[in-house]
Amino acid sequence: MEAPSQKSHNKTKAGRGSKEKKKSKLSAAKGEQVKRHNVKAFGVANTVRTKRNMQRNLDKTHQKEYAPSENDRRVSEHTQGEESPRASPVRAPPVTIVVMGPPKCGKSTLIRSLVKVYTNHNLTEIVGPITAVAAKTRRVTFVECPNTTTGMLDCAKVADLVLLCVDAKFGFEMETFEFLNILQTHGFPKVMGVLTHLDEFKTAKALRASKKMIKHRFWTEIYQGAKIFHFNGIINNKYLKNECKQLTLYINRVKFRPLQWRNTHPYVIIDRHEDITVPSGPNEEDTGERTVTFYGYVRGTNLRPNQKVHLIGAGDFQIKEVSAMPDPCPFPSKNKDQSLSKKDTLLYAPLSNVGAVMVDKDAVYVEVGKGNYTKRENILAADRERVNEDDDGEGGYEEMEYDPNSPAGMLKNLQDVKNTIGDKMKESQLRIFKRGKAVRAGSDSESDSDDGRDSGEEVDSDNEHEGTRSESSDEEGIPSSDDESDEDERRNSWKVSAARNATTNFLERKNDNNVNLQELVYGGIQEEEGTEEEEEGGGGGLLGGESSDDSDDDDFFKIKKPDEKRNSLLDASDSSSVEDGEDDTFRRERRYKMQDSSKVGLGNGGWGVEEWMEEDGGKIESLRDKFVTGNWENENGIKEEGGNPQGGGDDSDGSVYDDFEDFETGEKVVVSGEGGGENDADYDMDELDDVDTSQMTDDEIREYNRLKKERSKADFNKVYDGEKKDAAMEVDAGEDEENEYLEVLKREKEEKMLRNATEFGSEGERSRVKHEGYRQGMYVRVKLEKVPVELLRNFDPTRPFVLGGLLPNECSMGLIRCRFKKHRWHSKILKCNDPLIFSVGWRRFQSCPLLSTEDQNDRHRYLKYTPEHMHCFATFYGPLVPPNTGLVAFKDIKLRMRGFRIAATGNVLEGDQSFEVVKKLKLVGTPGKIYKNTAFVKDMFNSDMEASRFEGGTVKTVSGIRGQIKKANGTSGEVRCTFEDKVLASDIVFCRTWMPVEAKRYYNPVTDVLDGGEKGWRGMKGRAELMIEKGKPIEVKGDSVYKPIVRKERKFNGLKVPKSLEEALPYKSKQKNTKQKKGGYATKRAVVLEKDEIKKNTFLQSLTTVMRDKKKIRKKANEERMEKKRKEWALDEDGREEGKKRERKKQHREKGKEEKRREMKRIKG
Amino acid sequence: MSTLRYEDGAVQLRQRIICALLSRRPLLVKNIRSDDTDPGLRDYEASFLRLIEELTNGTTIEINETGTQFRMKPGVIVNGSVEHDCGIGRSVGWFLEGIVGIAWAGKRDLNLTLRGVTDGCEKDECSADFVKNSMLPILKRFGVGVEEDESPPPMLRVSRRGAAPLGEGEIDFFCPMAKSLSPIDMTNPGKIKKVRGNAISCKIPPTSPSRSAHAAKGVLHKLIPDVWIHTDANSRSKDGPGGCGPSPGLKIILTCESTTKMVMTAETCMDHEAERGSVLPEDLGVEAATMLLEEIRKGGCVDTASQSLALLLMCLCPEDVSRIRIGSISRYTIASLRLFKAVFGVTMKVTADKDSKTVLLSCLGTGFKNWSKKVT
Repeated sequence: MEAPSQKSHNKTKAGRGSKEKKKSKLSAAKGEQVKRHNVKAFGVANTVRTKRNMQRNLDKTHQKEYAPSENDRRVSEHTQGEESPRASPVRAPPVTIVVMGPPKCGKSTLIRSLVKVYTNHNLTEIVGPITAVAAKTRRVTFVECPNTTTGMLDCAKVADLVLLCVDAKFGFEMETFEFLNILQTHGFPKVMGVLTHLDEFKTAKALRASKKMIKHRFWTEIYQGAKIFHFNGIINNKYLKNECKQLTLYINRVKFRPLQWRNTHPYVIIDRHEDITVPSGPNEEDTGERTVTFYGYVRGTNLRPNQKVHLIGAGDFQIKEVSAMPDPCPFPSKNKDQSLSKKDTLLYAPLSNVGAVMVDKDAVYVEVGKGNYTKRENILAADRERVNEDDDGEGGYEEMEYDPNSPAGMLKNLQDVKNTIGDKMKESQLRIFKRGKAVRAGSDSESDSDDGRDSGEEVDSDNEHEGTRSESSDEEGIPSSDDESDEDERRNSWKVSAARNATTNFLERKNDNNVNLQELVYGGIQEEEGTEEEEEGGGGGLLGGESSDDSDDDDFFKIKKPDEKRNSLLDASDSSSVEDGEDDTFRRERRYKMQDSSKVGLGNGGWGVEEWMEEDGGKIESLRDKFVTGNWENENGIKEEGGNPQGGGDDSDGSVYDDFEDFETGEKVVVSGEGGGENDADYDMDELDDVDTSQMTDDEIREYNRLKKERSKADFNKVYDGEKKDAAMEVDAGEDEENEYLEVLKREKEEKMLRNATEFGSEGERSRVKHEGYRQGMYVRVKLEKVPVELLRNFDPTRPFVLGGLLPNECSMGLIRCRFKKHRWHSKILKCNDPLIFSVGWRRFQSCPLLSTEDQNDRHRYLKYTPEHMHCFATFYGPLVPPNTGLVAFKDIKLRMRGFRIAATGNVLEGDQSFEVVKKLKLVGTPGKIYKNTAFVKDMFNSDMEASRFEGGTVKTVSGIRGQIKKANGTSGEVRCTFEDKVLASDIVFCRTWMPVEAKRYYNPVTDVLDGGEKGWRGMKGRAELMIEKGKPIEVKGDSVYKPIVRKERKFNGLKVPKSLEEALPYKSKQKNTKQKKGGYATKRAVVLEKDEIKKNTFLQSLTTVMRDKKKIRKKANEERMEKKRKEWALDEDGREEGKKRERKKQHREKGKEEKRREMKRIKG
Repeated sequence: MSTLRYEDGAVQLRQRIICALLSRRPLLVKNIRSDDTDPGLRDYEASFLRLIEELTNGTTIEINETGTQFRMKPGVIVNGSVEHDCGIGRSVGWFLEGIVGIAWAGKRDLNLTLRGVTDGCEKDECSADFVKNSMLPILKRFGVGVEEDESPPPMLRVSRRGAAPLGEGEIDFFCPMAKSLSPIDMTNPGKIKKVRGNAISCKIPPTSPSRSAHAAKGVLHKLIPDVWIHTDANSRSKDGPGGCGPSPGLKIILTCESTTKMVMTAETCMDHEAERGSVLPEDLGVEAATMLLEEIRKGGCVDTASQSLALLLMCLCPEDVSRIRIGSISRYTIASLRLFKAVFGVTMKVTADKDSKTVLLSCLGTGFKNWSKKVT
């Protein structure tokens, strides 16, 4: 059956339309665009859109531009993989990811799932920081944020990335908002939201609505478009794999913004700690102080070994010792090009029971699970009897005597050690020569100094001898007593003539002799080195290998100790200024002066006037090249050295080729890689081209090829960048200027970073650490002494434990002024001088803020309370912190506190030893004797001393007459004042003054870590809190109570115009309303009424009386009725209230039940 | 904070004090000339302590009865406009040299007026002119007062000359505050391109300074034509600005500048204790010129007397590497380096450059910031 055909559309076959279509079809077939009539006219087809497009592109490029921040000291993670042979590379520390959320929202599950994705490891418990390798260039440390105030504070201070868990079914909770606010004040790190419990929604619609609501709320808190992840459901106690994978992809790509505080302070998130106190005796438990080592990655800036640190929640400590440890969770080093293989995946979580063996600096810990062993002697006799009684014929303890050769026996012997290692070391002997006397460790060597090179002490003493010898000889100015140095001279080929040598000064000579200037300047290094070497021996050698280099310098002299410094300075001045033994006072004074002058020893050792002015002028001429008039070729040499300070001298002597030969054996790479001099690069390039690779090993060829590739790439980049720059030159000038400015800034920053990276690397790790401290990313062991034992006793592994480095300034106490605002969600305003807990920088402490506001004239006026919705200033006592540091304040840190716990936020403006905050004070006096414009005011001051301080002060009366205090009168405190008008005796005189108010010097650190959490720590209580606790009523000051004002009615005297004046006045002005005399005309006359009139009057009177009575009755009735009515109304009201109450109660009950049900459900699943 | 303790008397007093101020660590110095017949702090040292007290807020200084021991609890550096009479024990240059290190680190700009001996002590200590010619350029190198839209650069003006021993001169010193320093890389001394100088006389015939200037030029012209020495003859004025104090004196100061803008200064003066006429002005000129040549020969980027200032500022830089090349380390500098290590914990890398016979010093700054500065 055919469908009825419909009439199809008729195509136009003639006319303009068909022509156009044909044309366009044709051109489309050919693949060319429709040609317009006038190409020039249609250059820009859509002006508006093009304009917008251009603007958009410009905006986007501009957004990408940034001036490098001074503040940004992070290590770029891309350099991590490359191992520089000379200096060990700077590695970025693991990224700190804080997982935060209210209880029961899936934090642990999230960490567990992520760790599973990263390392394929199933964590049983989430305790302490967990470090995992996330990618080739990124490691992450997970920290679970506890829901305590202090825990949240600590986490906020160290987080790089925050994963904010939200139970989507329940919505946001108070903790989340509190945490966000804390984050904002301590530098806002990246925040990503994680919605969990999404599978609990019954309908898709509810789910969608909830997601949307949460998303928008989240965006208003963080920023528009902040990333949120949705986790649906749980399998095997972990989130779905795919969803976790997505999250990890984002985590691996996150870029972090530089945060001010963390880029100026080092900090260590402590992975674990060990108590290494040497047990002193049976009562050691009682001693309050322990030596504890803490382990973790250095983050932020460099941790210097002599820095003070703040253990958050415990207090300030001086670092006793820092040492680098092997990285427990290193980057996978092999197979750079491939992705992370399964073998490489690593996890480090010492507190979470991962792995069983732990290698420490001075011990290896093996976890053997749960097991107890008690020595036989230690078990009580009673126990033994009991055991013997219920024996199964095995003879009780007899079986437990082990064979000393069996493993168990050996272990037992080891446990039975009687002497400490120190004792054993003291006893130990070493025989160096076969027939020689054995050297005992404890004894100071006297006889056997010949072979003393082998024991460390010997070398030291030897050095000391030499040091003092050479020193004394040098200072006496005898040049040739140092035979060792002469030997060195002969060895050094580049030596200049001996005559010249004799004249160069003391210090320069030392330079010539390869003397370690470092040691010359900083004496007493030897002892430090001794300990360091010792440490290295045990540490498994991160720093190993350098000790041999350093020992080369051992035979040079030991430096004057600091206590000898004074003498040396004196010597210098003695030799220059005091020639004879004449020790008169002038000379002595002169000597003292020379002690404190930067011109000490200026002319020492150099050429004097006579030498410079020698006839031939050769001396002067030798300086020719140092002037612009001289030879310029040498200039480059110096410049290069500037770039390459270590041993660059040899290169410029034409021995570049020597170096190159080294390259072929693979060593030159070291030098050329670091040298950085441009000439160097050229040389190498040339040489690289014509190197014969046939004799090389595979590795060498590979290395060679790599180098070559690098070079050509660098060359290409140079050319390419140049071209690009040329092209850029054509862009209009204004933009170019800006770009150039940014370019310059970036280049400067890069140079600086390069200098930072390369300056100290050359002499090995140890000297590098000495100069710049422990860099970020290193795994360190920090030893602290005098740690309170409570720290160990009350240790809670579930809360983060942070060691923050302090700058020297931050240890001194002072007053801090900050901008301060009550948090708008905090229900009460804050009272001046009521204790608050501040969190500033690393620290948390309780202090009493003094509130003030700034007047127009910079005066800080005292405030009793914080303004409701405004900033004010707060001044409090505490350790100084840099300006612009954020702070957050709490009333209390107790766990169970109703409402929003954050009381106020602010930021630090300045620190000082004193701040002026003033309060208005009105001094009140009354005039005593009054003259024309002068009055003596009394009761204002208590003594003439007091009064004299106010001379010249301004006063004012209540009626507004202004005046000035002139002078104190007598000793009673009376003052003479002048006024602009005569004051009345009844006037009150005010003197308005400003009273300085002192800030309370109260500082109480929050040591909750020592006291076992927030419950243990006790701070000062606020006044209101105390009053409530003690049940005292609010104190009322009698003076402050408003009393009814009783004012006496003033009676004015009548106006009396003298008669004479009255008469003289014109009629108009004469007094007219003179009072009428008592009893007018009518009263004087008697009125006799008629009978009729009396009758009328009586009638009217009776009528009025009747009416009045009626009215009275009616009023009474009305009142009664109203009373009745009122009672009825009241009854009604009561009933209604009752009903409402009942209704409300019902509702609450329902709600409570619902909540309970939900809670139960959550606990169950 | 741990106290800095010293038991070796008034050695390096100024530096110890300013280091204590900068690091906010208490300072205790014992045994100040305790074995001397005239024990205790000298007037000028006490005066310096007073000056420090004036420049700061909350500094407490306790000196014991005999003056052989003092304890300082440092406060906050405030600066502002301060006038101080230095007395005649030491020249104002000695005071200035100490102050320069902390002048930039206050709450406000420093406007300091010092009265006392301005010239005639150059043999023992740096003069005010030396501070101006040699140390202020170093300060500028570290970025103090460089951004001109914020504040003018540090300035020093000798408004009235006062030669030793009676003094009565006056100087005005201005130093803007800086939030933080910027690290330096002064490793290339460059080539000397010009020499400038000043020959100053007080209360002696004006021919003398021109004679010494002429003699100095005679020496320097052998090497460089661009030498310009200004002569400044002052006569006594009883009061008011300008002129000079009651003592006669003659001094010459020479400053050379290199192509890389490195500045080195040398100065000398007539010894006021020597017999009159025993030293010819020409000799003085030649001596100054040779002293300058000696500094140039050493080949550093700063002169010997300014080394410790440069090193102090290097320690206070942000946490970046600063490098400097100096001719040879003076004893004073060694003492300073040890002090900086004790106070700031900065160990400098000291390497000898064998070729140019110079010393390279580099360090990572401590990240010092001028906290006293108020933020708005």
